[in-house]
Amino acid sequence: MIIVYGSILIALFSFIIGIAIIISKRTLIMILIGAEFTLNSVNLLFIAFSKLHSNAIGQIFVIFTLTVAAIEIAVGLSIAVLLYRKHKIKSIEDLKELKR
Amino acid sequence: MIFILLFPVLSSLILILFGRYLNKKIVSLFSPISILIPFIIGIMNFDKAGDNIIYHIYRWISIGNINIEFALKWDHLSAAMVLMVTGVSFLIHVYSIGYMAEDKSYPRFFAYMNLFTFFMLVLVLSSNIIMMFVGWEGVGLCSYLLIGFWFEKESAAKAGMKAFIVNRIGDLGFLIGIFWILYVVRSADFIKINSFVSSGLMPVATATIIGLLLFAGATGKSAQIPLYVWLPDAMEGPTPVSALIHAATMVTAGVYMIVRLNGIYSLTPTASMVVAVVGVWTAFYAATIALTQTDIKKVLAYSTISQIGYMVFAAGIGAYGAAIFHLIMHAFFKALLFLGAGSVIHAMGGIQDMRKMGGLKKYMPTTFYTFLIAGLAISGVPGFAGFFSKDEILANSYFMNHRILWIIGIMTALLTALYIFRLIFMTFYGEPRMDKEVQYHIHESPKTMTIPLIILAVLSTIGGYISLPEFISKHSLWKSYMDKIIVFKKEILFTHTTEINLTLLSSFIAILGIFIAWYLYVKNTGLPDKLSNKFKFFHKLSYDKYYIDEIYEFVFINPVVYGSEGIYQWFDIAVIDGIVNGSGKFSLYSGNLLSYFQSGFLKDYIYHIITGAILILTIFVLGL
Repeated sequence: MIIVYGSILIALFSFIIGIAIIISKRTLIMILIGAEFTLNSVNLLFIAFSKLHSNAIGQIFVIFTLTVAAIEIAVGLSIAVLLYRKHKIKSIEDLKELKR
Repeated sequence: MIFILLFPVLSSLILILFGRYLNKKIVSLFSPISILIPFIIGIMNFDKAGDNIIYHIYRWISIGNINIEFALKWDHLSAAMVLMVTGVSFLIHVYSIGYMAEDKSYPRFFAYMNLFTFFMLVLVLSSNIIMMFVGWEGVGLCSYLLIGFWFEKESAAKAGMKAFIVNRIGDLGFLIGIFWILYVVRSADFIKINSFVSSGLMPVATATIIGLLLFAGATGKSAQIPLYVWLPDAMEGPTPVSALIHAATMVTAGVYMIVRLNGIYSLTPTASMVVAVVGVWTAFYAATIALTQTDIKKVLAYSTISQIGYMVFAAGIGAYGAAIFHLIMHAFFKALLFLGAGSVIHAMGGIQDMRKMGGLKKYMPTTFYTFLIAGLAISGVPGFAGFFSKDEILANSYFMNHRILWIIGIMTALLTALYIFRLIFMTFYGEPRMDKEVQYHIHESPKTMTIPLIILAVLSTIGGYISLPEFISKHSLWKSYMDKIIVFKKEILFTHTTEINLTLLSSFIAILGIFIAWYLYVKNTGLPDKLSNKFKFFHKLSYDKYYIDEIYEFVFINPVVYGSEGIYQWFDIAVIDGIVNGSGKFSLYSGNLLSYFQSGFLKDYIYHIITGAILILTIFVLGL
């Protein structure tokens, strides 16, 4: 039981850390890392609750999210790299294209 | 039995998908054999046809208590049609090997031909009227594809479109007729329809309307007045196509449909009379046009319209057996005529104008003699196929007291002999009128082309003996064969002396027609020009096909074209485009307006998302 509650706590902390990174950092790479943090904390929660309810479905879900996350980070990273190469953009302050 | 359908469609699919990778030899072996197999299956099962077998394949549509089966009907009518379709189709496939040898789209041609044969088999084998409609439309599609086979030529592409659109008009009536039958009978099955009719449940007025609506479809497919205009233009396609689709099989589908639903037509004298009058009128009318045409294939096209007119006439007066008999005999000799014409065109290097031919007899003897047999058969010279079949139609009309129609029929027989022998004399006799270059290249066609000609010539000679006139043999083979599929049998009294006189009369008429043709085009070659100068008005009327195409253009096509142009101008551009552009502009402006609430910085959005999430979560957790 302690392991379960411990993991829930760890997940909570890492989620908050991820959010904090996303809010505070300006470089695209750091924001992506923050997003990964939040994602993996959710995965951890999945596993913890699956253990708590002794139900394997949560663990299966983790496998799925991991694959999707891998793809997502590949796309995100390539966008970040391309933005830097083409427009020399490192900070999100320079991203003003959303408003014309 | 399902294999009858399977082989042509599989072969067609393979040729469409992989045809371009296949060797020409494989294609030319593969495609005819896939038609030969159904023919053999048909012959093997021929004796079973008397049992009216239904082969269920699967339940196709099921709405309420109307069930439409995908089933094959094997009775005397469909068996005869299947043998005719596959047999003639096989011969024409073999012929095409030689005729199309130099064409670059060789596999495509055979793919379409196989597909056509498949749909034709669906049409004649169907056990219900919906499935028949599938075949009916399928053959229309293949006809379109094959008329426009040389689509690089604009006239061919246009002719294909014309055939398709004119058929659509007739098919609209056909479809409404089908729906009406479904509504009244609550079934599409031919057996159910016929038993419904024979039990007297169908009111005569309903039968009349249904009969006329279905006949509208038949006028389109079988090229009758007023929808025949597509058939002469359809000659743009390759000649084997004209032989198979526009002479032997597809265009007779309308006659087949009337005979298949003979119960409905027997019930209604009005609709039957319309059918008969349209038929005999078409027969006469098309024959007068065929008299003056100079394109060898156009003459044959109008001849086909005229002969189908005979069949429709027979079906209209209730001589269903005679109609199908003439249909099959016509398939033999008209396919032969077209293939012979194809052989001539092949030798002439693509020239179709008869004024540039002449004297071909000594260059291509096989083509000439087979063509001559077909000519004798179509004009009704005693002993040949057309004599028996045409005579039976005329005798039936005489004994059923349709005397006026009978007289027109006899006159048409005279014109038939005249125009077909005009064609033969202009093409094969007299002095060669072509250029020296062309004349040098004239040659007899290859074996693959002449052998089908010979087989068809044999069939056009002996085919007629399955139905001898009553005064020769008491029990006509064909009559007892066809009696099985007729719902309302009626006995007509044939008096033998009168019948013999009629036979003598029609033989005399045929020989008279040939004699006139001989006198005009061999003996006294200057006379036709003099005559046409003297009767300039009639000659021009016939030569320009009574200006029907121009009248249709003026009355129907132009109003549609200019009307649509007008609608396009004020409705499409003003209203439809206005709505579409307006909705686009609306979102553009509203988006512009809303963008004042946006900062455009990524950071702000993240803040908003997170605060929003936290807000929702707190509300949720605190249970507010």
